[in-house]
Amino acid sequence: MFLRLFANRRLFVLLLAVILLTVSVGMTRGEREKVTWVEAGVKNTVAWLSSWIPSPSRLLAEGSPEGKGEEGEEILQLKAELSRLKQENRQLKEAADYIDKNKESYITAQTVARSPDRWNDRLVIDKGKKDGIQRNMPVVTHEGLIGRVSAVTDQMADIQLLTDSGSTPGIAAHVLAGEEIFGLIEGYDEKSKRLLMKKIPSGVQLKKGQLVVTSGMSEIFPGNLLIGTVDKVTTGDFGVDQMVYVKPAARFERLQYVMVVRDPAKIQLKKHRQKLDSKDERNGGN
Amino acid sequence: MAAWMLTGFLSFLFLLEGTVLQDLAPQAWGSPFVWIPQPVTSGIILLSLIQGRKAGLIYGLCFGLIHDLVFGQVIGVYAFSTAAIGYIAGQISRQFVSGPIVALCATGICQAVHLCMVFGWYRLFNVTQIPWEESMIYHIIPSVLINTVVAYPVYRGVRWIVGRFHPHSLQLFE
Repeated sequence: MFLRLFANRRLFVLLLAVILLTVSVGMTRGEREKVTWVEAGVKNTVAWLSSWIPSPSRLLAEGSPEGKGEEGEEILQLKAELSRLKQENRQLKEAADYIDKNKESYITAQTVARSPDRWNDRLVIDKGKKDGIQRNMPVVTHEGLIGRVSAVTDQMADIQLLTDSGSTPGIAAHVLAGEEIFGLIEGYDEKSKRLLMKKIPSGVQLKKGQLVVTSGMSEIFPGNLLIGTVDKVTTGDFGVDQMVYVKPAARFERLQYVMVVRDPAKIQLKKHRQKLDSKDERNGGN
Repeated sequence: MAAWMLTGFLSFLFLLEGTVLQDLAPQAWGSPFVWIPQPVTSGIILLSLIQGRKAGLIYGLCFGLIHDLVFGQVIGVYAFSTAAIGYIAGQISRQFVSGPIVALCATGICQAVHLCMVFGWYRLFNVTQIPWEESMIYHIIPSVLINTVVAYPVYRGVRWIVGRFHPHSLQLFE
């Protein structure tokens, strides 16, 4: 019986491939602390190559120059360059204006690539560990929160967007309704394009248009980053709580410049926790 | 030499997938319909139709693995699916006489199978939680249609490269 199975080599290889797939997915899915050097090498190379390809939205922003009969090639080029710089300046100014209002430091990065399929919504940016980016840092645009850093190498970082359809660790959030009402942002409803905020106590009254921001109580995210506004309130999964559809403040369609939020307090906290954990382990060993 | 040219061509398409094509896709302009650009997969399918299943299998495995490493949350889904579709395309190419239209139809069918396979694995491993009807209507069907159209320039490119270095295999193909 077994010999017959081995006789059909193709079937055997297929089975082996499926087993290998399951094993490799099982090993790599979920939260991973570090990326291996092989992955880091491939990621860095592709990010570096992609950064050489100009994006059409930038080219579109340059606009079509007029009156080309009169002007020489050089002038046209300079004009295009000027309008490109204007556009860039405007975007960066918007970003800078946003920075002034907040005390955390922001690392501005350019988007290099975005994952083609929307089932697994990732963004690759051109800044990495050497610029001070760490895992789990929140990422914003000048409009609001868009995601968190899911993997980081020396030269680049992967961002998991809020619109990712998979299971993500929830983000602690507040609804600003006079008092602060706590809840967790978990998941994204693609049909209505709304974020789902769950586990809100059923007693509280929420209204459309109230602001939703990140909670400072979270260990990884700094507080008061704008997520969006309350859109619709329904009963939660368990029947005893409320669920809110949150309209995200940021647009996810075209992301050219993003900012990684570096909160010194949270980094300190993380270090402290790691120290405590390792101390616990040592004590446990004894 | 042909192998290098093909690798270069497919790598170039791979870079386009993440950058330029993202800006041209309907979802970048607010449409609910999503185009998942996959010119690399089209290229591998077409290559496999012309050069046989072994080439499809190897190129599929390599480019699938790169896709997994660069964009993936899990490693292995694209590597498996793209290699499998490369092999299947090579297998069915023996069944009919082929010209550009038939090649494009075959690409469309293989693209549909490929996307369904990837979505199925993602659903199984809980990488995505989108219900399958929704993903069928908004993601897979529009993607297959646009990818089939985009496959034509890819077809010209692959044919040109193969025709330049191995004119014999192209004669067999036609």
